[in-house]
Amino acid sequence: MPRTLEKSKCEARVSRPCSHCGLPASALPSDETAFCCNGCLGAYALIHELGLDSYYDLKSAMASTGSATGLESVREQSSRSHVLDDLSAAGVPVRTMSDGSCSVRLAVDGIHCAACTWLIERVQPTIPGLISAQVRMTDQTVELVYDPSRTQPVDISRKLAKLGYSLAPWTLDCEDDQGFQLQQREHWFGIALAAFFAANAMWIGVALYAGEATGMSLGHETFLRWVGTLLAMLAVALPGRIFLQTAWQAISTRTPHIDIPIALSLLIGAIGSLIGVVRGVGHIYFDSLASLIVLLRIGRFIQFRVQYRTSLSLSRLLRWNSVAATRIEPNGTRKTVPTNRIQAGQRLEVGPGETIPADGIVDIGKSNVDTSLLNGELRPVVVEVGDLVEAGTINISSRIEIDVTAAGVNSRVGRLMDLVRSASAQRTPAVLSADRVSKWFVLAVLFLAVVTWLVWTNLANASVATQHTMALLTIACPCALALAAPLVITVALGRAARRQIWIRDGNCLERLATPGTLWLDKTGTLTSGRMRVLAWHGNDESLEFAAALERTIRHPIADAICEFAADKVLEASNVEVEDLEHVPGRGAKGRISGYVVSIGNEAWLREQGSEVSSSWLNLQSEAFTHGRSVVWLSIAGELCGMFETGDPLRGDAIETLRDVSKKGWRLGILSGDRQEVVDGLALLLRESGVPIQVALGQRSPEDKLEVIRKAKHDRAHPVAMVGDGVNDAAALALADVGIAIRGESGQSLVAAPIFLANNRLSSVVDLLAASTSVVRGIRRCFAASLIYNTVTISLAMLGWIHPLIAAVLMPISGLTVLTMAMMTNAFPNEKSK
Amino acid sequence: MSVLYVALPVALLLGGAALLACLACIQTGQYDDLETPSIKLLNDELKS
Repeated sequence: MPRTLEKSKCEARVSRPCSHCGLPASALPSDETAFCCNGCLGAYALIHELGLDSYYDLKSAMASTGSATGLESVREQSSRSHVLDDLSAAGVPVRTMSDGSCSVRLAVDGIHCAACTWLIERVQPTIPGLISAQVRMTDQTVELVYDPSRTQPVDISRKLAKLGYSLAPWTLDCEDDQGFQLQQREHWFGIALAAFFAANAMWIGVALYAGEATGMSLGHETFLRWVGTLLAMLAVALPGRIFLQTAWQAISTRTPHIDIPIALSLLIGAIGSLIGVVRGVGHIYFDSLASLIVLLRIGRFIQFRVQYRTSLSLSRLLRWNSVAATRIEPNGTRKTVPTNRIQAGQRLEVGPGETIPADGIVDIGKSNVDTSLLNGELRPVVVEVGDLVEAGTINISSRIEIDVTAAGVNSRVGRLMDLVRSASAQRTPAVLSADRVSKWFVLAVLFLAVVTWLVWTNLANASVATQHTMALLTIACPCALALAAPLVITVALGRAARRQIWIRDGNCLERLATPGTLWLDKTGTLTSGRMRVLAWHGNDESLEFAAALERTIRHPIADAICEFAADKVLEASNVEVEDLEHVPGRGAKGRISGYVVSIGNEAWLREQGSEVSSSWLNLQSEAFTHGRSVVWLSIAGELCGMFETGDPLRGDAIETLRDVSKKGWRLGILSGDRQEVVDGLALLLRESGVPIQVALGQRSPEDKLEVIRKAKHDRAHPVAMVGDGVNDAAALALADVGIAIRGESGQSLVAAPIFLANNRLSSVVDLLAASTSVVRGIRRCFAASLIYNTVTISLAMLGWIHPLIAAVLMPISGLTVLTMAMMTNAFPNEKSK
Repeated sequence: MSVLYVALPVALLLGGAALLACLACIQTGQYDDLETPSIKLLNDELKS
């Protein structure tokens, strides 16, 4: 992990929010500004230079709604921009306009709030040749229109990278994107048409009812009836057609679908009204019909948007991979190429701090590799010549050259992405309460219709019986059923988004209402995802030596020790380290002020000739039972200290897990990290009163998928999973409810149906509470709809129904559902803190 | 009351014209992104 925190070297520092992004940063009390990292400092300076200081005003004004996390990773941005050198090679379509300017849509990483949009669009006048930059928040892309003779996307991207926004090729197929736009327009068309027909049919309906009360000529009445029916027919034929189509498909594939009763009502209403108007007698229901179609089209549109967001998140997951790589050509020259052009058999150079772009065998060099992306293990793995390195892992300490064995979709991480895709496709959609209820609803209505017809044929004649049966079928409207669930869920989604809980698949909320099993990933989910010094046995003086030596090394444990020392030691001496020697996987040594200082594991220390006494060894084994790693320090051959390092629990972990288990959920840990570490964490949690049922370690991403698959055999209880890394992605996609959490490592995962962008584990408790209220809200809507239907169906069976009653009751039932959905108290507004 | 035979089609035609205008707006992409413009409005106010 690259070191971003600048180690403090001088007098007492205080913690203050970073002037750019608001994260905690250390500063001198006299300083006016404080920065958490160099990236923020750079961005701050650039914003001043461009004269865009009001960015900060805007940002604080938006703080209540937007995220203020600001810049996360500035690393790799410069190398990423190389991909944009050759857009056609990366497969990005560039449209050339009639006036010679070019237009391209690129993905932007790091957009959080309105201020980001503003900042990106304000950069436009400062870049000559950039005609416009339009940000689209929904999918985090920007459309650049530029003059190709004066500027290129790569230059624009460099400028934006300085502000902390990196541009990358937009991996979702351009065609897909356009397909979405067209479909969305089709939905808008449908809603507009349906609304037009409904509004006009309604006022004609009003005229007819008024005429009936006050008396009107037969000619006028017939005219109004014809026009109203014509409008309703058009409404059924144009915006209402999709319901008939999907219902027909559902019938031909013999799958129950909510569209079948809807189509039935539409058809019967339409045919009945048509017969009524031709014969000039009987009730007609054109106004109810038209308003029904509007409500249904709106519900359908909401569903469509939710589905699109789900598919979008998948493509966003694949985006991390679009990094440039350095290829070594056969003649020895280095060339920057997009990752997707790497093939097996080629040679790559990977510098320290870079992501390894493909699977391969190390050919030259020796380094530490951070594999936490694939298995959650924070301790770096040592790789030497002949070892396999995998795409997606990060090369930490030194330059290596690799022979590519598999790239792109063939690499391990590529196959993992395939697993994620197939897992999300495989996921059997939960049978939703609306669908379950609607099946019974249709049966009941049909049964009652038959009863009505039989009874009325006996009581009166067939014509009266037909009329009453038709009234019943038209008015028994599944509208509330079709609308209730999507509406309640959509309201909850909106409220959740305000808390930075992004829910892509609203059905998940329904699943969470019954307690089941919650699997938790360890690294980055239960823990902070960063190595820290948890205990130090030794004196402050030797700590200085340790920090001085570790400052020269790139290694997570070294970073942790430096950070620890910076917090503890007020005055860090400016010492020179000579004769530095660093052996990956063992330790390091160097000469400081004439003393040989070595830091490393037990074996390393013994090799340096230090004695390790039994009391120290006891301390070490105790640390091991808690899943911690131990690093020893010796000065001049004398053992003088021991660091216990590990990944500390999140601050809210214990409380959250306690609350979750109180709601009846079973808890399990599912980690790729070593079993001892996982056991240690489970022990720690059990000691604080959290009942962890199972703690599984050393699970590969494929194993995790298998665990979830097995757990899902018990259909009655949902399987939920919380994770943060690509190694959890497939399991998250397969689980009934996958919850991704933004880890501190910056590798955030947006493919899961639920994404906790606020980085708070306690949001899981909010989610559970919200799901209970959502289910309650849906049930309330069902109850309302049931009461409405019982009343209207009884009226129809008695033969008392009148089109006026239908026209009044139908919108009322729709409005009741709407009001009740809005009143659902999922994610109540933030409690006063 | 026979004015109804003229007034009603005229009313429908007027409404239809508005509908066509609305459909044209959708066709030219004005409804494609409903999220970002609301934020941009806010920005312009702060700029002055």
